[in-house]
Amino acid sequence: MNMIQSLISLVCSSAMLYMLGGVILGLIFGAIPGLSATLAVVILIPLTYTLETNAAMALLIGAYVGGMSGGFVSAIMLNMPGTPSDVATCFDGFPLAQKGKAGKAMGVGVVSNLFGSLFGWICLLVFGSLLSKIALGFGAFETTAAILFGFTAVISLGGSDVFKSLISALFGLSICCIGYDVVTSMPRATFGIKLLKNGFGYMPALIGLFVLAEILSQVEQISNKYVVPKQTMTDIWPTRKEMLTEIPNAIRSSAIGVAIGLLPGIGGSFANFVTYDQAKKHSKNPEEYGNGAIGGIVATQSSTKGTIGGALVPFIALGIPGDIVTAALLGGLMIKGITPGPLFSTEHPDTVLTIYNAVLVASILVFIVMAVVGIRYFPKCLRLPKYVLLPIVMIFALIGTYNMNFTVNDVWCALLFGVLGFIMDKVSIPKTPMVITMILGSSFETRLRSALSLSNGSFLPFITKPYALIFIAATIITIGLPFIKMLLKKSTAKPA
Amino acid sequence: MNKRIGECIFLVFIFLIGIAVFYGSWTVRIFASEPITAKAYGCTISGLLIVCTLIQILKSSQIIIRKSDTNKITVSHPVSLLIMFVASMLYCFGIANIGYYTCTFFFALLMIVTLADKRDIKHVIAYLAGCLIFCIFLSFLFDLIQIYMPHTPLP
Repeated sequence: MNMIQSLISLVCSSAMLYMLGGVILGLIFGAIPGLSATLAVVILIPLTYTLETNAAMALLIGAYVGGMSGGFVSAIMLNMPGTPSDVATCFDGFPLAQKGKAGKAMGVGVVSNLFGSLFGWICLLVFGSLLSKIALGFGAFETTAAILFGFTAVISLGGSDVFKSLISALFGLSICCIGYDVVTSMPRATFGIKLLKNGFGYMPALIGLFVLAEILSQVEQISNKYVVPKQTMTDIWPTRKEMLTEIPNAIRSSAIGVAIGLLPGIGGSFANFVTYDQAKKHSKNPEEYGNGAIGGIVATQSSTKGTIGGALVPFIALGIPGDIVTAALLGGLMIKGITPGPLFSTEHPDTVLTIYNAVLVASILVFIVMAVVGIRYFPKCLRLPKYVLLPIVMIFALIGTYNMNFTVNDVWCALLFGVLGFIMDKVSIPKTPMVITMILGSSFETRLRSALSLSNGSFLPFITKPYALIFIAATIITIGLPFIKMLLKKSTAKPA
Repeated sequence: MNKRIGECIFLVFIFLIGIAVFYGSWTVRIFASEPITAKAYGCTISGLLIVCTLIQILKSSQIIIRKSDTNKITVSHPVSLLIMFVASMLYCFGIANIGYYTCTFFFALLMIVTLADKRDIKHVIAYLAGCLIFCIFLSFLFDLIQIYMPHTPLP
């Protein structure tokens, strides 16, 4: 069966309806802070027992793509990211919504979503085998260097308060040190306290710092009846000029998204910060970023959707799940007696083609659902009076936190981080570096220690391995560029 | 409160956490020899945090002494915030020890009554009905998506 035949059979079968159901469920889960694409996929897995393989994959991939796409709605409308991949979307999406341009922000988001998904899909289809080789070339050194680059990118987003961003990042990394050691499983900095033994998960921290802190901040402004003012739902779609201006940004961000998607365990939460930073640096008007720049939404949305294609490359070519959601997809396939691996595409070509096409069709379905229904009705649904909206969001956020590990300790952690986030907002200490280091802190430590164990303590492979060298160079440039710019400014100012 | 004083207080809090993590990392038991042990990694990261916060505290203190930053921290509606914070704590305690849906009902009702501008009998009855419907909806939803609540005496 070739690609076109597979596509036609997918679109004309009942699998299409399952996929639509998956997309809608994913979009809703993605849009509610605390619920995620992973949860959407996991709760659908039991339903796939009775379905044939193609329909099962269509359902799960629909939920995956939908879940990855829904988070920007609450990021734009409420300043509360639905998923970790949408934190940076808040930076420009919410300011646009506050100006009454939520429709525009969502229109740009939806188009960028589609662009990133299609870009990722093309990469998956055309460069799949090449990218899988690159993915295989990413060992502990390369991943450590990539994460380090991500940290510097996030810290540099602090602008004039880079030092405070650094403190925030180190604070996040220090919190990651609390709990069982990732390598030896010995308790570290737990002081015998039961609550500290498992450490602090990043999801309770994210929900606390961004959702609960925002709820507290909205309670402070309770005299405003709504979170965002009335929205004008005209001028939703990006104009031709805007599209032409943002095409390089979208291509760059999608490509970075695909590249980051290839790296196991990193994913969209990392991609959206790196691309936001790059978009800001490449923009002619960087001062607009953070105040409602369309480029910020384009960068974050196209990159996070680009990670979908990237994450599926090692999954299909090597049977290695790139993130938790693809691990859940792997579980869905294994239920059907299929174990992805190097021989997956030769032993089950039809299933591979279905996965390829399901990503394409699900991305288009997300676009259609959002364009026809989402953009019009999501803002209306979320424009409830604060006294109704805030309790609902809070209850969903807390139950979402509980649902991560089915433990109330996580809910306490979220509350603690909520208060911490509220105070950090008051004293102008950026929260984003703390969250990104909490998301990647354990991964960074594990990979760094593994890498140095492999090299017997030598840091040399960081510059002798080509991929690692690229990220180290990018890290140095990210740190050095502001200083060089400052020196150049001073030298040009002197003659005047 | 002056914003810089608030910043300093918060930085002192971070500094203390840094010291706690440093001490906790220093006392961790090491079995295998690694180039970077759990102790070394934890001490390096928390050590950097301690140094950086200390520098920032000193920088902010100088600004406070010079009185060159007059920005103030303002907290609007402190009573609503306090009610919400206490209610959230009780809610967390309640979902583990009393019952999820029971606590959600009372928590949602309290939040709505605190945040709403109309609190007459007619509206409170409407809020009661709304919270009840919301809790019933949640029980159906969580049953469907298989979110299992802690074992508690009440639902």
